[in-house]
Amino acid sequence: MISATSVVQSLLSGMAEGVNYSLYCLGLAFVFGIVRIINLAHGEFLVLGGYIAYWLLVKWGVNPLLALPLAAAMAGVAAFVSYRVFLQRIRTSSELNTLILTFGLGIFLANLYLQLWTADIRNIGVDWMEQPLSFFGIYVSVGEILTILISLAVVFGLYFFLTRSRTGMAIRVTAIDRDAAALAGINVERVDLVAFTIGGLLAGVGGPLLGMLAHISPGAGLHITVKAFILTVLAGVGSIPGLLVAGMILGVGEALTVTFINASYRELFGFALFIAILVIRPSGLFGRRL
Amino acid sequence: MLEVKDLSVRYGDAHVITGVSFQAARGAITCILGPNGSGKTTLLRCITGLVSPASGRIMFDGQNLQGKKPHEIVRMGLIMIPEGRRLWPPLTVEENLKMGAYLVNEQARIDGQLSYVFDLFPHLGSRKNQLCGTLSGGELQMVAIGRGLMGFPRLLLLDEPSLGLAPLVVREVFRAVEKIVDAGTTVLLVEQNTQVALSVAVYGYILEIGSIALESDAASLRENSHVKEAYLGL
Repeated sequence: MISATSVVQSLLSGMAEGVNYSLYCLGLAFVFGIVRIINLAHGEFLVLGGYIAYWLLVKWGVNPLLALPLAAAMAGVAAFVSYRVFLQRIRTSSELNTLILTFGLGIFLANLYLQLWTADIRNIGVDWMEQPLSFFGIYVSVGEILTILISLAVVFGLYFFLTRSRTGMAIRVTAIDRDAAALAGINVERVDLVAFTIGGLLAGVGGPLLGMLAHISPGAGLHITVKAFILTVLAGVGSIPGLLVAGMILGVGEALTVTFINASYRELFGFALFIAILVIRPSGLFGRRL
Repeated sequence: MLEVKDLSVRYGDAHVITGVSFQAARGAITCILGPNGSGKTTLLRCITGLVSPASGRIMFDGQNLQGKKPHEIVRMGLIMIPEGRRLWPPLTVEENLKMGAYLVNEQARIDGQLSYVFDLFPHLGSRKNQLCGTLSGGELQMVAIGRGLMGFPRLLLLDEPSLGLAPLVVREVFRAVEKIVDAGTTVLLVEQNTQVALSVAVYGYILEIGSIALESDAASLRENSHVKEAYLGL
């Protein structure tokens, strides 16, 4: 039975999910827009953040929210090392190489996680965060509200970093015109490294949130990477506020699919959207501007 | 101040520049003239570190630039205003200018230089909060020069500053360039607009198919029959 409440409920949970999608894909979209590398290991960086939070929780009982900085830092380190050791060497060769390399890196990391944390699916929910709050028959958990706030804070934080800070501006102008940036005295190779590392940090923040709201497993990364890629195409490369809108569209669309059609068509919605956007508007909803 | 010796640049098998030598004297305007495709822009890209030479030597203020990255060369005080301005359209005029001072740390110096640029190009003052995507060609060129000045250049390389500008605007831009030289900055000017370039430069080189075909002080270049015929249309 479809009631008004269930429509509102699914719209709201779709939007909540959508905001978090934006965070999950922020790192991939950012790196693609700035460094022009499609990081297929993005999801694995995110999962790493999730496992860091899992470890802290089971070993020392640390709340996953407090684990966020360390999760981000470790994923950032992973990204830094990946770029410094591998990607930097093949940057100038064909773009396909970075694709293959990051794909391989992802497989390596997924299997490393399998060794370290077994294949079990882990949820890192905390009791008080799963308490539902009810407003006029609509349910939302404390954890959902917190994760939305965190996601929004990170998305807008990145936006202000890019438009207000000196380093952020340097990253931005390098993406717009690399030679002009070099001629203004910006070390553009360093910008690549910094941007890729920031991409890792951003992915790392998403991991604990994913673990709290759903679950993480060694193989969860690829799923995230695919979703992030769909969102990046939907939003249009280089549009950070566009990612929020794209995330909402995907989240709400999925939620409505689950409510009105069938939960098993949920993933199909994302891919149908992906193909539709590629056909109708290949540059994405929000063009290319940064 | 700048001494280029026997410089050669290749793109794959194509020899773009072969054995070019020239100098830019301190405190003056030196110009390099030549038609489209003669290798002028490649020469400048090589000096600024964006392209590596196949052979030859570039000395700036007694230091060899070999193997230096573009940002290191900028830090030494050698700054290029690239052909086609190459500003960042989504940024405002002021933001573009301030990014030119990326390597300058003291806020007071940045502010001082900013007001120097606005004195030089009074036009820009009223446009400082406008996005660069909305400016006219002449204004864009002024912002581009301004952005270069924000990095406190000792040697300024100008690549075709007159390109696409109306004659009146060209004159305005070049008056500003002369003021910049008067203030103590050395200028190396690359131009297709031979007449204007020779009217401000003290010495000139003619680059043809990647080699220096002719060099002389500006006055005698203006009287040279080859230059008259091929470049000045006289």
